[in-house]
Amino acid sequence: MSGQFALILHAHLPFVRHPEHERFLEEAWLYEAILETYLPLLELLERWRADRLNVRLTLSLSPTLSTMLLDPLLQARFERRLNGLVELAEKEVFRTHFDAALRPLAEFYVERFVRLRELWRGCDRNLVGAFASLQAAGRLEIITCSATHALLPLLARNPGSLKAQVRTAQEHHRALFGRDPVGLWLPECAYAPEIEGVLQDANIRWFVLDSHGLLNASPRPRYGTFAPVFTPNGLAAFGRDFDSARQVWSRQAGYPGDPRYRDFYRDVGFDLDFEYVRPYLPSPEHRGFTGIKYHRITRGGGGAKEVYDLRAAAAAAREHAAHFLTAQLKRLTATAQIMDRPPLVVAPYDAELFGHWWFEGLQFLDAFVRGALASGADLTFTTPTDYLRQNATLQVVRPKPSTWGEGGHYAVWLNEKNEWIQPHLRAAEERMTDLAKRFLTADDLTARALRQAGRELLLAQASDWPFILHTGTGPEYATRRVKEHLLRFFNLHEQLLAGRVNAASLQAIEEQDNLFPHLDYLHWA
Amino acid sequence: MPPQPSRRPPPLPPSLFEGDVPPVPAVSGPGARFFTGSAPGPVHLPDAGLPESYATGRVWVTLADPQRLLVQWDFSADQLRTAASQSVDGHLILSVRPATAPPGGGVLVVLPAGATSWFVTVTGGGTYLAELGCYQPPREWKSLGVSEPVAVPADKPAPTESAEFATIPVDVPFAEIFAKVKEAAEVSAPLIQAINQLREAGFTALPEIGAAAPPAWTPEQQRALAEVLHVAPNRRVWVGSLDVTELVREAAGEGPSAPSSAGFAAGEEAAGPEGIRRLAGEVSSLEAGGAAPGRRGFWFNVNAELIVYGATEPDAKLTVAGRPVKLRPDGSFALRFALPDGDYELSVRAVSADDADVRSARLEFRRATEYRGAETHPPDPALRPPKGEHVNRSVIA
Repeated sequence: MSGQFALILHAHLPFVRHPEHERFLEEAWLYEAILETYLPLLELLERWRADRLNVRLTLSLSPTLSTMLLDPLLQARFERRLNGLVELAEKEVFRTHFDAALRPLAEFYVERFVRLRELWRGCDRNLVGAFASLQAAGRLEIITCSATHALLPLLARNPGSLKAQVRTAQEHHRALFGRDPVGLWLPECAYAPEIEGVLQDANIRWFVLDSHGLLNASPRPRYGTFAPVFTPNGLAAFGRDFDSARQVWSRQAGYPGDPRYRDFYRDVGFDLDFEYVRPYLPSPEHRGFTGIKYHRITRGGGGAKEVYDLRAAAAAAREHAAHFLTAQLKRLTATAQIMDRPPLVVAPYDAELFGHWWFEGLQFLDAFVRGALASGADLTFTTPTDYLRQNATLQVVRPKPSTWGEGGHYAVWLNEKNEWIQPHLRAAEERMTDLAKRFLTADDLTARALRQAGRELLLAQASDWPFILHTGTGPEYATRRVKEHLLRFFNLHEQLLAGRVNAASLQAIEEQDNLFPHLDYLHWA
Repeated sequence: MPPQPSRRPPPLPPSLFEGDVPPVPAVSGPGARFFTGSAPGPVHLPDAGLPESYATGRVWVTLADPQRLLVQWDFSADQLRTAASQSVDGHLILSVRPATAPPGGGVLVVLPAGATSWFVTVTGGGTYLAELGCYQPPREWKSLGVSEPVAVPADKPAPTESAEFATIPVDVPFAEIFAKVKEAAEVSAPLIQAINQLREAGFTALPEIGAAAPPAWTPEQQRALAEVLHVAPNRRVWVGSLDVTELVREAAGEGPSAPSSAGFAAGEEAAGPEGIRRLAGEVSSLEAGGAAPGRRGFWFNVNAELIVYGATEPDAKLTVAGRPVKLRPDGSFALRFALPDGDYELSVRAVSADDADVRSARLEFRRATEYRGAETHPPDPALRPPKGEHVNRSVIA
């Protein structure tokens, strides 16, 4: 058997920088992800490098996330939070002194937080730089996505916005990594043929589709999702392997639901005396996650949660990794006998699945990779770019419009809870294009206002806000963000048309929404 | 009656006040079950609101999924009222139809006053457009706006056709390819087609790019691969970012939260041509209704914790239960201990900075709880998991 496995991790969070508040609840999304996913992922990749494992994978770093990871204010706030967690975990060691079941877990958290803090400081608080080093060492390939994770097909109505989302992301990537991204992660795997022109102009060579986007392509792709295709415009489209996705995170049968794994919700931030945990909460006025969790998912028992067992959870991760590996090898073996080329499994996941949502997820990945390399099977861990370098001849098909959301299309982002956003976005997009055409050249203050107007529009276009409105996990915040960015945009639009830019208020907004400092507003022209 | 002399309470050690700040606003998160207090304040919204419309008089249709189109129109409330008042029945009508069908065909939706958007069910692939209008006396169709057409993809595998292959090296920039193609001709076709056309016309640049011979492939191979892929014409299972949150939520004992769209299909009437149906009575921009919360039983948790506090010289070394403790700058310390039922002892030891002096203490504790009614014991197995919908979770979008 000879096969290839392309592991793609898409790391993204919306821009949740709030300098106007000392501690802000939604900023904790970033801190939780750094602590539970990005740092442990870096640790894992460094271990693979130290062990000289022949593994290549793809990391998609969204521009909003990489901007936040490099922001000195957020770095300092994360470190403050991490220091607090070390302190809390040390207190927990004493607090659980008489509890033989919990005390080892408290000690585990002390060791873990201290270790991750050393890693954080060791990379000079620069996770982006650390991942860039791994890329330079040939361990992974970093790609980008749209600037603020906008759903690109919905922007096909306004070519300027489509171009701005892609080109801004590309320029941001180039500034961080000194090279252009070869691939681009389509947010939510949202594809429509109308977006290809902009991708082609940016020399983006590949993207990933959900499996039905490829399987329903015309003509029917000969190799299914086991090989990429060229679109008629010469872009390579890789199809997500449905079976590997379902096994890992299907709500019906995914591994993370095993009762031995750590419970996501049960956290001392909710369980313990409020005043005791208050200094360590994301927001001082509300209970929230600290990251110290003592319980496992558990099955039965009338909803009572049993104490988390580190060994049992590690064993579960190994079992699941072995199961996953066996299933992959079985399918690849069967497929290799049919195909005239080595089959490729494309397995993209949200990076935050591993460690954050599924605490043991990185142990699973580690066991899977090591198991595969030790199995003797001819299985190569590759990246889509590497694959294309080795396989320049592909079938030409027209993929179908699709996303990886519920129902395979836009039901998550266009429904009764969030469709109200679209008319306002349309109006803003058209006004931004008008502004760009009107101000082909501009003085410094006007150019700053134009750039900020572009930033506000980009932020309003993020797919995260309609997603949150759909899931109902923070609709007030999402509504507020959409409105604030649009209102700022319209306000700047009025000022620009009137020729009276308020420098003081502009500076205040620039300091708050400070991403993409060199944004080119002419992308909208 | 003479005033009573005030009785000042004896001073309490500061460590007992640790955390005893005034009550704070409560949580909306999963800890709500375990925490009492007032509700958090409202989220600040901008003072100025977004306009209700931009009055551009335009109509848009957007693909929500291959069975559902979102139609939106941008008219002011006055514009809509005026148009409706001039119609024969006081209503505006939305027509969604195949792009080739005449006005007035397809789905006709009689709109309630003030509606600015509508989801319309369609079946089958094709190209559709939406038109907003009304019937004016005597019964003449008056169009207020027509959308651009939108293509609805057929959501099933395409019939197998002959395969076309091409070679495009990933490291040759598109700009370089385009430059050479444009040297040969002005071509507006998709890249691969353009190269192939030029090659047939004698174009010899870019020899490594263009059509490639399809490898041999048999029907048997095709059938065998389809079995491995589990290709199904109607897929029913989806796995994306939302699914993992649901998986975790369900694993935590919560039910699925995704709202059902089942409530939106009411009011479908007679089927029209090409699988389109006439709809009436749907309500636009519905908030999905959540299930009524189940009745919660009376609950009670009691826990006990112990605070051990004291002070010594600021530069002394302190251990509690053999573990070093960091002193505060003033030499004081305070530690909390969960105290389950049982008998316990604790040793505390302070050593001066020069190691010359040692002071130690041995503390003994006992907790015995008599439960009446439902028995609980910390760590309390009756503590239910936090409710997922209240958790301000990280976003994976």
